[in-house]
Amino acid sequence: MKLIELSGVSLTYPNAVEPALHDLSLDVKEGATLSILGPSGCGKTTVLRAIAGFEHPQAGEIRIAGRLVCDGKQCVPPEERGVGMVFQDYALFPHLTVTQNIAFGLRRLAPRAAADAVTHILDLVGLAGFEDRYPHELSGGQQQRVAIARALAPKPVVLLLDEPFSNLDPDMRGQMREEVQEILRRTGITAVLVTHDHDEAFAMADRIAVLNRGRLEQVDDPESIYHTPSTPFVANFVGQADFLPGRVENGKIHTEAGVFENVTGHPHGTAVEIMIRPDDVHITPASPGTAQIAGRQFRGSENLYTVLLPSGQYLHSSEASTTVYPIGTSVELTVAATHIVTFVKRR
Amino acid sequence: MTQAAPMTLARPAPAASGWFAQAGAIALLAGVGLLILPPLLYLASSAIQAGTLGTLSIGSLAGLALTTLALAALATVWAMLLALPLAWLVVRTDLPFRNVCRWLAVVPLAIPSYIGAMAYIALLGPVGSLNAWLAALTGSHQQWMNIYGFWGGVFVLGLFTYPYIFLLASAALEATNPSVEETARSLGEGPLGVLRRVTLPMLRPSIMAGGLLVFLYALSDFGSLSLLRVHVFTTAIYHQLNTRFDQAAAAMLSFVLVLLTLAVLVGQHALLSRRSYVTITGTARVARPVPLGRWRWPAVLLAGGILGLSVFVPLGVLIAQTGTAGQFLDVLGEQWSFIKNSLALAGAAATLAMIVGFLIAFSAKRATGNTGAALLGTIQMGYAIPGTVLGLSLILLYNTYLPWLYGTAGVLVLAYLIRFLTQSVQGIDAALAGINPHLEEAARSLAASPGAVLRRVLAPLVRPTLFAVWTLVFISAMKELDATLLLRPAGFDTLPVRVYIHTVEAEYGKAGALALLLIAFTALPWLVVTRLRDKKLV
Repeated sequence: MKLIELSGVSLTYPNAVEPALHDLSLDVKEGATLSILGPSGCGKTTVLRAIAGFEHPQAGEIRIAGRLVCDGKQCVPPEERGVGMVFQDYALFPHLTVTQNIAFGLRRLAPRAAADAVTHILDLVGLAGFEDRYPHELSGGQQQRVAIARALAPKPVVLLLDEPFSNLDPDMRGQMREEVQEILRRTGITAVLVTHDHDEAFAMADRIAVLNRGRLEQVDDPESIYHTPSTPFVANFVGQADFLPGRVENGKIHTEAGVFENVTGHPHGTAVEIMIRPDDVHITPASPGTAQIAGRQFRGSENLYTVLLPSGQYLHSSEASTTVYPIGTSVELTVAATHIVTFVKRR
Repeated sequence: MTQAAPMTLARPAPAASGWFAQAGAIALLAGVGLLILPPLLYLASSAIQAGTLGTLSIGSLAGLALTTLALAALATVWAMLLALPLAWLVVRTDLPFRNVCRWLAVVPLAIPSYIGAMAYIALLGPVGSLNAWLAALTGSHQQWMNIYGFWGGVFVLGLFTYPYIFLLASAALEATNPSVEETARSLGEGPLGVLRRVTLPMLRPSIMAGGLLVFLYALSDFGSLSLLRVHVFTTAIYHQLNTRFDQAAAAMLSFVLVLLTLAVLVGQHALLSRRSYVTITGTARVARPVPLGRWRWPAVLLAGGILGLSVFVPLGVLIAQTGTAGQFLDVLGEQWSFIKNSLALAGAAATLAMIVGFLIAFSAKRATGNTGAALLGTIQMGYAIPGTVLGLSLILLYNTYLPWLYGTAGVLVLAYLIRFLTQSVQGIDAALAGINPHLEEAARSLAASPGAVLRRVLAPLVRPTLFAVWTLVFISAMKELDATLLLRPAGFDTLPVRVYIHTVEAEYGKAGALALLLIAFTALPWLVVTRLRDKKLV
């Protein structure tokens, strides 16, 4: 069942020239986690705020659990939407304790039931024992857990998370990512997570929507987004990619680094670019080789080599962390693309 | 998207020539202590030695305490009622003219409360304009309106002190992270619920701090309450001293008033330390203005009403009472010697406060142990003493021990220094704290002596601040009435004293002209300083 549906949503901020969202259609299935991924300023936070009811689109419809909450003219106010929101800066109430923060949205419950709900949710997020602390007495990770607990307490239909890990230290980030994933799994709640970090999106989401300048580039599962991006923008944004020029001849794509299957059936003579990920390229020293090593970045788990082809084109190759060749080494390339992704050459 | 936390700088470590600075700090502490503490101690000992209440009874003392506290409390509530809706309207809504309103809302700070009282007496007093108009209109000489008394005091004090609360509350409203309020919306609260459960509680510390300023102001004010004929501690002290010549009773009343003030300060300290919380901010986003919709014009009416009562009506009355430009100049010519007195006194006090303030702030920073804190604490005490009480203590002390100083203009300069030194010290202290300690260390490593560091590095860096604190103390001293009234040498009147005297004698034309001049003298320097501050020159 589609829990959240956006169809044809457009939104322009006052005094802005370009629309923040342009004819955007998206849906989220019940129980799934959708990640909205894109560079800063692409409109991803605006999508979240429109779902929550803080922004009012000028066109298009938004439905939550089948109910029309926005039709481009009238909007249901945030307090009547039943969404839980976790802000980037957590937005904890500084004048309330952890317990009071979490109980804030539980006023319709009897005091006893509210207290039980708070205890239950504190256990869920692992904050038992911190009931009477004020927000400023908590660490960043603890503050975030309170923010999530507070959003989950009134049992919202959907949990919206805006860059939830960006304010955490890098070592804390990985741990919180796993914890939040576990909380989402255990509650089975539908979630929408906004992020600019593709690793975060890959790790957390069932589906990823890539946004660029207010437009939807692609919605797909994480593997497809990485392996078969539908636009050069997506290909570049979700990981290292090189675009190797080639030409379709006799049903094959001929490039400087080898011949590839013409899987999408471009007509004979088409100039195309083929996307190559570093993990598709393997290098072995050879003399004389066809290419030369121009640079190496040690990344801990891998060595990322920059290889210069005779035409001046660069390719990247990911090699084992222990495989070290000096710069200038002459090499032979083996390109084994698992997924052949081609784009008609941009002019 | 995240905003970097403001850079915090460590306090400079005590310099290598510590003993020198330490000796200087102790000498300054002794000097400041001798300036501030003996008057207070002598006041206490006079009160205790007298042992009797003189012409006072316990009952009248209790009655006085009740009236004073009730007046201060009601004035504070009234100021909050004026300040909070205005702050919310100008910061958070699409109120028309909100930028103009925001600017106008601080103008009452440039109108001393005794001038506000004078304006309202000229308008609503027994022989004021309103009664005159109504008499002309109806032909009956009945007294329609009389602002004298307790409620008049509450009305005027709240009206001219609400900017203290407005400034703090609007700054806090502006700094509030909008996502905190949005969270409350997503958790099921409507706009009013958010205001009640989130916005107001988060503003509580600022409202309390502003309210405390108003309360202390009301507790210590003499000028406006005396003009409005309200019987509170300060007016009773003046009455005992000047009409009944009962110094013992005046000392006893002052002593009780100081204790009351201290109790308020101690209570505030306890309250703030018990429940403290820090607002966690870190957002560059500004809350979107709330659309007022059909409440737009009622809101304009409300804001206009508040600003009308506190800015336009008093200024209008002053201008109307003054009459023509010719009449204005005549008054200035006639009273020129008093204007000169005011300028000379305020200039001397400001210069002295600036120099002493710099030395104190500098050595408090260098001093080890608690010397620095003791120094700053003593100076703050001088600020907390009501002007009337300070005047009385100086009379008692100097009359007995330094009769050659009593009855000179010098005693006025000393009184201003005691009252306003803290403004200078706090300003310079903050400026020094903002100077990167590495600058000093860099200068030392380039072979500059501590004296050269002070002269070549620190002084140029705080020079804009020195200018600002000079102006601040100048303004405060220009406006000072309560202590001046008791301490001035015979015939040596100042502008505020003349405004007071002419108001008492119902010569509102003269009072109005001098009040306008006084407002100009205080508002113009303030405008210059804020202008320079906006341009980052101060």
